[in-house]
Amino acid sequence: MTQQKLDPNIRLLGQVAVTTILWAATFVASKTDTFDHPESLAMRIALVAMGVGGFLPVVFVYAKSIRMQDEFNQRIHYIALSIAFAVTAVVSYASDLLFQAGFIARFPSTGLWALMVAIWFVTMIVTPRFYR
Amino acid sequence: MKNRLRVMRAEFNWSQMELGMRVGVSRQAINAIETGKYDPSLPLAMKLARLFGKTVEEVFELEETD
Repeated sequence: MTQQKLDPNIRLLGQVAVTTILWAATFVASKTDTFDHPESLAMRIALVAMGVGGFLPVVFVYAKSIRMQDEFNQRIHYIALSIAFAVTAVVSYASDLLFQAGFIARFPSTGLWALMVAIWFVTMIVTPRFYR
Repeated sequence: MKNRLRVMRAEFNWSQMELGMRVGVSRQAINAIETGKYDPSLPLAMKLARLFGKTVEEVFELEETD
């Protein structure tokens, strides 16, 4: 009996869905009041391990999804990631100085990488237009 | 880099999508190569040339500005 292989793209979509749900669940769980500055060392380690452990699979799946694409789309990803990296660097540097000067409140690091992901996605949409 | 990909594809009556599927890249990649906005890697250039029964030099040509 031959076993039919699942389409790699569909398998990847499934992995994206599962890892995103896992990440969302661990993110929400790690942000509850129960885990707000816990006193016990074990609880503190568990908090960090849960949050980071839930996020790493998402990074792995996205890296895999980029590797699965053709060379042109990989290039688009690399350009988008480079732009996102540069913008994040500028924003983090500027926000630190603005905070030091007393202009703004401290910019949360979670917000910073959320901004980086947003720029990555926007650049992914815009960049292919330059290749038409 | 100039190329004759669009002409050759037309000779075979293939769409960009069909050509892309034959060499394992997206329609967008074929479009970007045809318009000269993207230079393919050597393996992809060789795949394309082989598909049309040509050499790489017959499909792709260096411009003076390259």
